[in-house]
Amino acid sequence: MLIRIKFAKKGTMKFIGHLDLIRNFQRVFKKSGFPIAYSEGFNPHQIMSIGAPLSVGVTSDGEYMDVKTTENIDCLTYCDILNRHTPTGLVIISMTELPDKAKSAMALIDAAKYKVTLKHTVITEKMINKLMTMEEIMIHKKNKKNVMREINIKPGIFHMALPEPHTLILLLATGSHMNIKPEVVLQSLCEVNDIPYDKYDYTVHREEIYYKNDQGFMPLNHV
Amino acid sequence: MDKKLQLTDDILLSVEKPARYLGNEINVIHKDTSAMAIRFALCFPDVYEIGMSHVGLAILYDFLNRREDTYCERVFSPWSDLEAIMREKGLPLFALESQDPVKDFDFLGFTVQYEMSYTNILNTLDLAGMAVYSKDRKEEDPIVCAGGPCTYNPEPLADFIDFFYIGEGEATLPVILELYKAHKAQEGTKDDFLVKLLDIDGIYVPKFYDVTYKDNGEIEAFTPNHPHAKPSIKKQVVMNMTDAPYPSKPLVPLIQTVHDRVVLELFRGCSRGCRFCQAGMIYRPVREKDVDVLKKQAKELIQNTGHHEISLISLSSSDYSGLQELTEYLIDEFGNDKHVNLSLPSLRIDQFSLDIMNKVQGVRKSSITFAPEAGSQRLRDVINKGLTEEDILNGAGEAFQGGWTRVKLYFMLGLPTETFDDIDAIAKLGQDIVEEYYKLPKEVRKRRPQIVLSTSFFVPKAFTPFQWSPQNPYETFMEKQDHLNKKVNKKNIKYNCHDAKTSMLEGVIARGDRRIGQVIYAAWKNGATFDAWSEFFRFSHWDDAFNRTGIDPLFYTVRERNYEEILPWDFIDVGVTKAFLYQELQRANEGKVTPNCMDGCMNCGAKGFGGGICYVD
Ligand code: SF4
Repeated sequence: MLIRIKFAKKGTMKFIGHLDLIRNFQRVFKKSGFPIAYSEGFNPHQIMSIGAPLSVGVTSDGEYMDVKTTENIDCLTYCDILNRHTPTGLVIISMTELPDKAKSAMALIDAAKYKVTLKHTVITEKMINKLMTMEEIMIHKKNKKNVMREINIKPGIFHMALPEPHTLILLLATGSHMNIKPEVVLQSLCEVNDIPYDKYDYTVHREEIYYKNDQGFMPLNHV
Repeated sequence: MDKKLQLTDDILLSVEKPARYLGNEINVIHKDTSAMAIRFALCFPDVYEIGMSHVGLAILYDFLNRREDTYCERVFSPWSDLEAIMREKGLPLFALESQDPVKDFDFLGFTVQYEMSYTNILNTLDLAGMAVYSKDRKEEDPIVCAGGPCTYNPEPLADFIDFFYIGEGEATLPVILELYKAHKAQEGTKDDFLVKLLDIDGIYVPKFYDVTYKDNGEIEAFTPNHPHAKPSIKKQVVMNMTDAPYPSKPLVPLIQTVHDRVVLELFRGCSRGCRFCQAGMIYRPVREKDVDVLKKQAKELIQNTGHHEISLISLSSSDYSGLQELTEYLIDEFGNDKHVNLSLPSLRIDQFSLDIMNKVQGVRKSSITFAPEAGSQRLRDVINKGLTEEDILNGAGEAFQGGWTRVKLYFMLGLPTETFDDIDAIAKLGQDIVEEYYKLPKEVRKRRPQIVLSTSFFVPKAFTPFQWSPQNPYETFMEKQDHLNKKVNKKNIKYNCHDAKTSMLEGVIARGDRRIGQVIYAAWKNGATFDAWSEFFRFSHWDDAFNRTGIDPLFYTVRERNYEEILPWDFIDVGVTKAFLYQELQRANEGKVTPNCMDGCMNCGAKGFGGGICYVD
């Protein structure tokens, strides 16, 4: 059975990097007696994959992981069981059965929604407009070969809003085609508006991860 | 829900591996600090990942926290990136669980596992905001204590530590804590408490002893200066290992450490009597744990941690009487579909162990390890390493037949009586193993064999028969290493080389007296920390420290001591007698081997503890 697990990474768990997060899940599955399937071969490992790794320092309420089990299970019951074994700050929100031929979370992801909370920096609607009316938003980024490249991130910013004075909501391209991080957008926003950028002045929280279909952006657990 | 943290987010996000400093592991113990009679900061003076892989720390943490009146928390050395920030901002060193400053604790206890961590001990005291010398510390500062294998010669640390506990923490700590509670109720001074400690066995309070020296630098006298100070401090041990408390819910770090695995302690002590091995002497007698208890513990531990590996630890696992029963059980219980690997370090390589490894390792075969320590049989007899060339070649041959192709061998350079012939024998042994491989029929030789030779430099330790022996000077070590490097046929053999500088320092500290404390202090003042890490180690810090204190390292290393000399650790009674050790030294010089305790008791003195292997027929 294929299952998509939605989970939150909160509190001090934000300091745990991607590989350690995987190790923690491996132990949670083992401790809880979750019937996770193992791969064949010399070095069997649990069959699981996490889409869109979260940067260290970022919290989230919308992380996804696909797993394979050796038997059919009741998702609701196992949601409780797994939560009894997770480290503080790691919370399983829901578990959804996937159809047999479902695309993996990893391959599906198109966008992610972030909430950026600023401590001191003041952002206004006007500043957002100034950035969003630009034809191109160019940034410098290193590619995989470690060569600096200029790229236009404008097509990757699907939406930007300022619901409260210190809260910025961003819907950004995420995944293998294009991957825009909120700090890059914030940096551009500051640059365009000539205000100082301070990387310790804000926190980032990922709210949800989406794929896109005819109806628009769908959360990953919408199957 | 957010935990109180000592460090702010921007600090945590600017250092490497912030999870080292959070104290949020699985199975972490949280207690109401206001309700605690005793707060104990237990420090492993090295980085988190090293300290968290040490089973002794886990045992003490669990043991102390079983007490309702005590809250034991962990302290590690902050990595250099965080240390720089703490010093710049004046942040105090804190314990992980409550994140409270170490200075607020009743006790700061160090577990001292290797000599190259000594500057980290001084650094810990300093970062905690305390004076490093005991005499300069304030009344309200925590009481600083230390235990662990290195403290069997406590003298190099004597000026920094208020008291040492000699032996196993489980045996001594309860008495100390009870005494402290009573003392705290009476509101006595720190000194009053230290005086009361003098009545307890196994406790050494350095300030109540004076040392005088002869003109030639040897100790003239070591004398108590307080009427209650005992002339001899007797090691305290846990005799009943089966019923001894063992953590069933050990901490599971959220980040990768050196070993992410469940550890089963099979027994303490060792019956083999290798003459260079300090652990083999100071942990006598052998005390086994019942096999049924180990089975139960294995199950509980896997259940409570979710680890994918079980490791059996002890000084020489093959000697455990229930080994076959235990490994069969573990393979049945956890092998195959349960996906738990079994790791069996310190096993002798024979048909039995290869069979087990075959079962647990399946197709993926890692290397086979031998520790002959010396290349020639003559020298192996000198050090009483009961491993013959035949054992090694047969073992390797069987391993090759079983499909292993990688063989690792560990040796020491600079053992007493060593000649260049003995070193040549190391290269020859490597070559003989290669040839053993080519004896296999051609069809089964799929890959080239890989032989890895590793040498370390011999450091004579206190409480071993070689405690009187000279250590090779630095130049000799390097010359021997070069010699071996040239002799090794590089075609199928890899040889790992090192620098001997730290071995020389270990040699000074391991047999050091109280004066060595000044050298450690000066080296630390020069900036020495994390000396066990090659990226931080600077010999110049130490070289300068010797020059400035006027202490000659060679006095401690290359000098041969005679039997009459008062050794700095003579006042510690480990059970094994000085006479036995000296007799062993003489037998070494004659190349005579001494049997394993299981084959015959040599009356080493450990029988006095009244149990363990000494009383097994
Ligand atoms: S007293 Fe005998 S049996 Fe006991 S540890 Fe010593 S040599 Fe071994």
